[in-house]
Amino acid sequence: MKLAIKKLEPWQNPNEEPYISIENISKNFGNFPAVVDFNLEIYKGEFFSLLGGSGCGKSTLLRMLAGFEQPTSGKIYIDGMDMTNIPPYERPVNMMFQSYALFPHMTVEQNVAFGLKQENMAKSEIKDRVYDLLDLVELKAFAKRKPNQLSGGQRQRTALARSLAKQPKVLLLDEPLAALDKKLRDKTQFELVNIQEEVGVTFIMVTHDQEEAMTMSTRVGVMEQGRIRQVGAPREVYEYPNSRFSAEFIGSINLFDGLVVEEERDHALVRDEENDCTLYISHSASVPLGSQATVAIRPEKVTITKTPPKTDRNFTKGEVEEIAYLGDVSIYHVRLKSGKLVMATVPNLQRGAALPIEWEEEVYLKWNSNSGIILTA
Amino acid sequence: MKQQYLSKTTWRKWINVQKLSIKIPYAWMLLFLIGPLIALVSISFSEPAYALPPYEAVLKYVEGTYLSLKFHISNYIFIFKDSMYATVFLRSVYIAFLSTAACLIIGFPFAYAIFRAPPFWRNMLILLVVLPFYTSFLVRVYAWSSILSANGPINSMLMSLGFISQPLQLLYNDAAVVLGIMYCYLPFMVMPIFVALQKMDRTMLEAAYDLGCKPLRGFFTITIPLAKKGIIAGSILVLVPAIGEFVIPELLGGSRTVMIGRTIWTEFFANRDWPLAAALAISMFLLVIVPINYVQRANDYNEDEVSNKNQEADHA
Amino acid sequence: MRKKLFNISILFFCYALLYLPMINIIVYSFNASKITSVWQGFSFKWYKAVLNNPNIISGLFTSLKLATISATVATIIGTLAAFALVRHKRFKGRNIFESMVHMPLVMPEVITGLSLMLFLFWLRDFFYLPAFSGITPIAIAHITLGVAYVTVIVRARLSDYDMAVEEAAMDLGAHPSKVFFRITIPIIAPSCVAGWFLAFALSLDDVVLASFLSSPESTTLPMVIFSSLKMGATPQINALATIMIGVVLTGVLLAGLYMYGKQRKAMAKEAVL
Repeated sequence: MKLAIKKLEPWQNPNEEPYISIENISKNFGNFPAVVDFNLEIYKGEFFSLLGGSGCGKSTLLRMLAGFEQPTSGKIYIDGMDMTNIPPYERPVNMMFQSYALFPHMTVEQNVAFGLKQENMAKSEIKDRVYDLLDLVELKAFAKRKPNQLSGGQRQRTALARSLAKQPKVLLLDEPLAALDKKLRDKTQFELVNIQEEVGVTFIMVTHDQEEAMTMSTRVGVMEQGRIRQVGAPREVYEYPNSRFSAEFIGSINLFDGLVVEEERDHALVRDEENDCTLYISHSASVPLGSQATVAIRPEKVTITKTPPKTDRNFTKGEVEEIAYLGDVSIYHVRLKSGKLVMATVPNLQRGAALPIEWEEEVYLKWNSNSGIILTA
Repeated sequence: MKQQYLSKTTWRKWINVQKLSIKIPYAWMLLFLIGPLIALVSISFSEPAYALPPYEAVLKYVEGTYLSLKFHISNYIFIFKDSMYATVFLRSVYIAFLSTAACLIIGFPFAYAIFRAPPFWRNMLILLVVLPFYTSFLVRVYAWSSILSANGPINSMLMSLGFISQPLQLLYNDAAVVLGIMYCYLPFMVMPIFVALQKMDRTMLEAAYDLGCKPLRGFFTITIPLAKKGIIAGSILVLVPAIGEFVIPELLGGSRTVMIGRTIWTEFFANRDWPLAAALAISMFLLVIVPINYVQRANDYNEDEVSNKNQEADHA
Repeated sequence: MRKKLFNISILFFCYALLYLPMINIIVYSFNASKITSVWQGFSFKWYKAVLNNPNIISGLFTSLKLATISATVATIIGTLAAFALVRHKRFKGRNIFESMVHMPLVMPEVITGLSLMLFLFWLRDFFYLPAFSGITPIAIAHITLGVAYVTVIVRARLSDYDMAVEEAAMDLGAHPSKVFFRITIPIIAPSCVAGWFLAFALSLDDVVLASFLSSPESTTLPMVIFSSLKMGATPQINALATIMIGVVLTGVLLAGLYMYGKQRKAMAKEAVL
């Protein structure tokens, strides 16, 4: 019953038309390919994050969407219209800059009104719109201030209000939280999501911070070297990484390399000779028997015990080398005989409890058969 | 214990040595900058006399026993009464403003064009702007007097093309002075504007375009206001020396191009009226330099500074 | 593309404006004719005349001596003043000090020259101090002006660099005086040199101050040129101006090459590392 009520996400609905289509976009700077044959479809009302390290091409892609860079080849469609050769000032797209790019010689009010003024809108109408927006970002009291009289958070909200003023079809956010400190960033993340839900504009955000991308977005695109590696909802990308890269980029992970020794419709068996470890995975590997495969297991899914488990699979043995106490959890670094390092996260449930496992102790690491995932790329 | 005490005294000694860094320049400036200004003020209040030196001092030791203190404001009254000096002041300010305007009209597009040039060329282009500044000032003025002269290249070109039969009198007028000042002070205008443009965040323009602003409108609503500081700084750098300019009107100006600098010079050397020259100098200082300094102060106020107080608001 | 063309034509026009007058001088300095702007064939005779002109030669030596002395003294005092302004955030009369040091930058030279001249007379007539003679009055004026420029340059450098460098040296056991000579001086040395050259150039170029303060036995080169220009130009001035332009160009070129070499060395080092 519950399943029937649940709304189908737009990207899962085959009848839904994409709002933004990026088709075969490439961009070269001289000989350097910044974005390579890029394809992506984003749907109306989404909060999409492009996630990647510096130089992965995510900002270039954003700048092409805004119109600051011309793609070397390929096409961009927004709401069915070809945007490829439209200059930035004629696109129904607005951008929030990483540096905010607030005009220092204008007040908050003038900054927010700037975009509307370009449309020759009536003055009274502009004023109403500006104050609605300032209300939305809680800056009404600061309307007459100049950017240099604002705090970092206030500037950020001014920039947001300014970029929303023209009610763009798409709002592009270039590392919108990077200039804020940690505490403020956490607070602002939720504010931003709330505002997005309120205004209903499609957001595309660029960030290098995976936590930010995970908490805020409906979908995440993991980028590397100008290409997209994986697209999916945050949970999907975290739990079912499709490649070594996205597994390693998002969160931490333990990887075991081995050979597929058993392959069935509902399970697979991977044998890691080096670590003397047999891994039973409750899904099919979809590769021929005997081929190379990597099994990825998140640290929080690994349990650590001193007693040997009773099975002959999904466990390994090593010595505790390091214990990192993080407050809520502790991370154990266990060195296997082969020299491989495996991480296990243990929640600290009780205060003042004596460490159950100490440094240099011999321990067993085990996990469930549905914890591992086979990576073939 | 003893060790520590010793090191403390060496510290103190060193700090005392550092105090000298205040005392020496202070003494120099008091003696050779403030001293002369006091002399200038004092002489401007004294009476001219046919003597050597040609004035009667304000404070004077009279033969016998007493000191006499006499202030004459007659010099200032004379300046205000004789309309010639008012004309001279106005003329100086007028010519200086014209020259500054000319500098700005050429200097802004110049700076902007350098700013728009590929980054690889920019340093080279800037060096080429500054390079003539390193050659002698007199050479630069002379260069124009030679170009504008009766048989200079402009006149000979116009004559050989048949536009004129007689050489034009291009030299010895206000226009030549304005041209000369513009030429000599152009780097002072270009540099601050270029620096202001370069300091400008390029994303500002991108943000304007992104909000639907067309490039030409962006130039007027974003680029020029953001370069304002450089424009004002450059204008002051040209205007101030232009008002007191002495060499250029002397070499390129005509008999009607009388500027304050030249008038002070004439009063001092030709008429030997030292008190009047001093009073003129003081008047010029007060009427022109003080207000300009005020503008400069206001311009120096740093807009980019963020007060720390505002940052605290985030976590309140 | 059209924008680019527009840009290039602006640059072309502006540089033509800056350099054509110079080129005009250089070309006519090789003119054999006595009338400055009628071309009558190539000749070096005006250069010979310049080198044999005793006024010019003695003016040159006076100017060089004057510029060396004033630049050196101005650099010392200016560096001290920069230190005072950067390192002593609070002392009695700091504001007055700062505005005094900057004053010569905004004061018209006519006022500086006139006031110093009157002051020196004042000293002589009322305090019976020995009269300054020779190049001393001009040197005083040039030093005062030079101090202002040197202070600005050195101060910028001093406030740019991180005080922590000095603190680190002291933390590692260096005595303050050693820190000064081993750390501070090497760091500010380039700006002192730049300041010295600027003060030297200012002194070498000055007409206004010199014309108030010079005496017959201390006629500087700009004074010689100025008075001969007032008489009317002679082709000798073209030759002299060309020589001056040549010297400046060579100097700037050498400095540029030196900097370029340094940069390349640094880059090569980086490449090796």
